[in-house]
Amino acid sequence: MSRMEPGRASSSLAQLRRGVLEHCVLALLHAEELYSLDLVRRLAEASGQGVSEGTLYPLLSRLRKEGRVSTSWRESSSGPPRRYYALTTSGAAALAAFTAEWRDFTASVDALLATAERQPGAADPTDPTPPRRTP
Amino acid sequence: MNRTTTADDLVADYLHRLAQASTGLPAGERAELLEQIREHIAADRADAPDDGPARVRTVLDRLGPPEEVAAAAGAQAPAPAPPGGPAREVAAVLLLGVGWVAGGLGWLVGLVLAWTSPRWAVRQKVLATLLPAPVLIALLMTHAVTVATHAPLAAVVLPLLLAGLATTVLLAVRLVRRARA
Repeated sequence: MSRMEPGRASSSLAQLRRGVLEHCVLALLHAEELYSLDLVRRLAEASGQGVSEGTLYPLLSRLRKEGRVSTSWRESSSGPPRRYYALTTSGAAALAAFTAEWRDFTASVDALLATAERQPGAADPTDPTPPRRTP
Repeated sequence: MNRTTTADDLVADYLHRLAQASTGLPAGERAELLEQIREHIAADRADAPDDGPARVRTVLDRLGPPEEVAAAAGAQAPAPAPPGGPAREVAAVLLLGVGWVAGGLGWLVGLVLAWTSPRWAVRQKVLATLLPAPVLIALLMTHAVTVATHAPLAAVVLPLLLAGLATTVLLAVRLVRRARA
């Protein structure tokens, strides 16, 4: 039986993170409008280690072009005017649809993982109890 | 470099590298990316009481290497057409335009090719599916007209069939052009 090496697991998690990133943008903007620097910082923190802040800007541009978010300029007390991002109606709808699908998805994956853990002899290197053997 | 590197030097150098790394992007996207990054740095520096080179270096580190930022913009840009010629689409057009006359299998293969095309959007796929329609309609109309009016077959068949064929050829040419674009 082939065992998945840790590098492979973390790379598939990295792909997953990238995939859900755009919906994290929508989720962050659900509560309030944020200006670009603030939004990007929060996003980089939320998506974990190794996400460079600069790489998130192209994603914001795409979401704006797709009409999921809108931007507006506001004066700032401490420096140049700032670009604020807000969720559009279409963005809110996309977020709601994603939230429902995400819940379903994570629930089924959790259920699968739980089944795998319960099975005797499951290949879980972190499991402290060794598989029982019949003498 | 003889003089000490200032915070402004660091920023200028970073933006220069980003401009170089992003030459492959469409002009509008490149300008937008550069503006966003410039704005990010300016906003961060405006907020900080200490605006020395060390701090600016941290800001730039968090942004990531310019090459990586440009690459991320490339990944979000519309995907370029898949490599290779539009052979699949040409085959689909031929099979759906003419091949169906030979039998159901040609039509079926044409359908599969059309709907698995990476170069056509749904609109083109639907149009390709409808390729046999003009000639089929022409044939049906010929039948209806000859039955109803007892007109000589050739007088009806020729113009209708020609019209049907012309429509098919026109559609086929547009579909192949679209696959090449």
